[in-house]
Amino acid sequence: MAAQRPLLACLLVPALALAAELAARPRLRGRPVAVTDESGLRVAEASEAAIGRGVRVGQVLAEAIGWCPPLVVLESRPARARRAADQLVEAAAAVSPLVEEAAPGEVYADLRGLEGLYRHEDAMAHALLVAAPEALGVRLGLAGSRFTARAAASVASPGAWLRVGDAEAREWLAPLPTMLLPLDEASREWLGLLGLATLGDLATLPRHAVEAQLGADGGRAWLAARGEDATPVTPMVHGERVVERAQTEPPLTALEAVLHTFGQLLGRALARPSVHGRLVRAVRLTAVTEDEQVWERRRVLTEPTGDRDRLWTALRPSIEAAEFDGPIAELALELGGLTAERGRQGRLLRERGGRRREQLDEMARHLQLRYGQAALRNVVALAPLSRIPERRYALADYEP
Amino acid sequence: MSTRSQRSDGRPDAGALRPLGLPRPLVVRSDSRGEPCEVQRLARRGAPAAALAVERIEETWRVVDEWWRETPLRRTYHRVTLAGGASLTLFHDDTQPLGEGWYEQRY
Repeated sequence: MAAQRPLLACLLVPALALAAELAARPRLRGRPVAVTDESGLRVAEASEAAIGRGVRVGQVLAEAIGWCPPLVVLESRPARARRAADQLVEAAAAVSPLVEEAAPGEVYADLRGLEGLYRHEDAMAHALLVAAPEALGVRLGLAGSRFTARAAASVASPGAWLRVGDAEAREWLAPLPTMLLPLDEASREWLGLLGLATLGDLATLPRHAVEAQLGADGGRAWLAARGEDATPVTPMVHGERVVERAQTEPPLTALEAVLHTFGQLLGRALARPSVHGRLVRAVRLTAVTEDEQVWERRRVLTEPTGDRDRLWTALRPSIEAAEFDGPIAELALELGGLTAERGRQGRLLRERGGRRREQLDEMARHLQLRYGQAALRNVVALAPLSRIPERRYALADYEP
Repeated sequence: MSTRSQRSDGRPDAGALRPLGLPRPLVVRSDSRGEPCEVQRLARRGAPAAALAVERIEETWRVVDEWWRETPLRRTYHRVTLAGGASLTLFHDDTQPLGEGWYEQRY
């Protein structure tokens, strides 16, 4: 069987955080807009209108506003940008099983072997663009090599696609700027000093000369400039994950409420049939505030365990030490590194309190089965000193 | 207040937190200063509760919280003694007009 010619797709959203904000606030389109970095002091991304007025990535905000007084400054919202990035990955995965997220907003898909599903490349391109969120203005490039697909995507219009054939790739790439190459800042500066402004300029040099100055990265850049970049798509490997989420309304402001909710999520995650009899190696805790700031902690256990109390003992200090940026609107708990099934050594003699707890758990299960819902509840202190009475205590289902 | 949990099988909401001490609506007649004069609990099953006059207001205080929201929480609480000697704590939600937004709540 003849080897299939490679066909790679690149889904690209330049300035992803800005695109996600404009998707949520379409009235800002066409206006000078900048998104700050996490410190809130510098420009992380800027719209074309802002760049046209002198705003630059990395500028201090005061300087950016000086250049562009009507500049609309938006705080970075990592959760919103992450969701947009995930949507892009899902769009590519809807068409191809071989998907790689090279960076947030830059996703590659290997389209070989899909001819049975999509008769023509046009159909594949259409399927990718339809799957992608329209509001993000996704650009699509198709080519036989990774870098050419990326370059094609950067040239394509939002919501459109561009295909560059193998035979024409070198000629098509030639006039494009060398700043597109996957090189570090020092290497790009070196190319600029030598007057190598376009990919065509670089492609005409001997490969050994470029590698002598820039090393292996230079060799790869040389191949890329000629449309011969052989870097494959490295598919993402999805390890088994168990995720439990909770959304809270109104958002939680008390630490006790956050602890209780995470505790509930842990119990539910461990109660899943797929987790029974298995041990957990890692737990990821995520909290998203009302204005979409993200707090995240990952705990890798020195010894895997399936015991709820031991897991909670490991997780609780991280939550208690957390500094949240605002009221919490969403919580998630993810179990990872699940081991194969193992048996558990039982105890010969049971503790009295342990037996009572088992009896209570059994009765709770019985009642839940009979009535179709939890019949026993605990009183939980959420914020006992709150001035708002209904925020102080709550009833929570007793979960065996 | 509720905590909605999304299970992998899509079943909704087992294990929501149910707040204790939720406010219950009241029908209140107030004077020109906004202080309650007469209180009537809303009808449940059967006959509606009789209106009770407020004999005196023992204490009044204000709670302003959740300032970061578009509509912060603003309440004026009154602890009153009703005709017959019963004690009641009620509040007016100050984001609503005076004729509406009265609630009974244990404080």
